[in-house]
Amino acid sequence: MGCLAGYPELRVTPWARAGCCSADEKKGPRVYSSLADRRRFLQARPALSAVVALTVLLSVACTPETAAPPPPTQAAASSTASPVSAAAPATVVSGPATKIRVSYPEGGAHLPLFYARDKGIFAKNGLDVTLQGLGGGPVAAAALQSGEIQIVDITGSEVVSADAAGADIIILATLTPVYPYVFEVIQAISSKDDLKGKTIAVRASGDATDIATRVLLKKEGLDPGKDVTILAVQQEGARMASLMAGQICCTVAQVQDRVLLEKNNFHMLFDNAGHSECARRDRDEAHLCEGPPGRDPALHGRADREHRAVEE
Amino acid sequence: MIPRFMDALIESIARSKNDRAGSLPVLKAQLKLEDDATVGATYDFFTGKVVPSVPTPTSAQFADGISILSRQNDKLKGFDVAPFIDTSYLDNSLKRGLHKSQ
Repeated sequence: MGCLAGYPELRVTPWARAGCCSADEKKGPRVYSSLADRRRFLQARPALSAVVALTVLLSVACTPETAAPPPPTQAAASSTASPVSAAAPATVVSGPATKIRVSYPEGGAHLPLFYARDKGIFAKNGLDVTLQGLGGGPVAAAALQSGEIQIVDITGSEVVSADAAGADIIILATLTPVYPYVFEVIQAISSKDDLKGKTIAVRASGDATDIATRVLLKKEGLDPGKDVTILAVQQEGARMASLMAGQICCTVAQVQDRVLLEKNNFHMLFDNAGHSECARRDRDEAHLCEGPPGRDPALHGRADREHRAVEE
Repeated sequence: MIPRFMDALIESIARSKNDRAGSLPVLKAQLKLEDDATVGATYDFFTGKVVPSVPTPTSAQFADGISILSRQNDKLKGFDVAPFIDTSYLDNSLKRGLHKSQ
C-alpha cells in the first residue's frame, strides 16, 4: 500500500498522495534492500497500522493513531477476565489507548478477537479495538486499503490477489490454517461417486468456500470442472436457503450451519478439516492444533477417527 | 501498535482455548447463536481442529488459493507470497511465552 510501496511492483495510491504520509514518503515508492530493511521501516513508524488474514493478515496503512479513552483499570479488567496470564507480562502500556478498527468474517475461528475485546486483553495492551464485521472478502480488503480499518481478518486468497495486483498487505498470522468446513450433502448422496453431475454451492468464486470445495474435490479424485458444477450464490444467506429448499444438494458448511443442515436431513460426506494441515502434522507438532479436553465425540466422530488414524 | 495487537492476539488464543466456560458466552454473542449445544460444538470444533496455538503463516498455506485463482488471474501465476509474510511480530510474542497464557 501507499506508504509502504517498497517493492518494485507496488504503486503509490492516490490515498497515499493525499496526505497520510510524510513529505519524504510522498516522493514516491520506497525501495527496500531486504525484508529486514522493510521491517525496520515498519517498526520505526508508530502510526502504521497492520492487518491480520483468515488467515490473520497485517496490512499496512498510514492512518494516524487516534487517542481513545484510557484502558480500564486493572481492577476493572480483572473483574471480567479469566485467570491472569501465567506467561511473561506484555509490555507495560501507559498513556491513552490506541484506537484501531479491525474487521472480521463470520465463523468461530475468529473467537480470539472477540475474547480479547470482552476479556480486556486488548485494553491491557493499550488498544481500544472496534471490531467490524466486513466479511473475509473484497469489502474488507477495500476498507483496509482505504485506511478505514487498520487490521483485517480476511481470506488468504483475497490477500494474495490484492498483493499480486500491487497492494502491500503483510501477513502477520494465520488463524485458520485449515479449511474449517464439513462437506454436507443430501441423504441420497452417500459416496463421492454420487456427486458426479451434481451442483455444489459456494458463497463466491475465489473465496474460502470455493477454494475449499475445489481442493476437497481434487483430493477425492473429482474434477471440479468436469464432474460437478460449482455455483457461486454470492450471499451466505442465499446459499443456505437454496440448500434448505432442496435446490442444491451439497455445500461446504461451518460447524454451526452443519447442525442446522443435519436437522434437515443433510449429512456430512467429508470433513475438510480432516484434510487439513493439522491432521497431517507430525506427532511432535500435533499439539499445536489440540484443543481442550471434553469434546463431544458424537459431533466429531468421523473427523476424530480420521485425525487419530493420521496421527497413528 | 502491531506488537501490542499481536501480543493480545496470542494471549487471547491461548486463554480462549483454556477457558471453555468463559468463551462460550463470547462465541454465542459473536455468532448470534441461541442453542447451547451448537455453541459448544462450534467452540470445540474451532478450538480443537482449526485455530492453532501458534498461528504461524507460511507460504504453503496460500498455495491452494494461488494455484486455483491463477487459472483466472494471470498476475497470480508464479506469484511468491513469501515477501508479504512477516513473522517477526509473532516471534516476539512467542519469545515471551504469551502462547502459554492461562
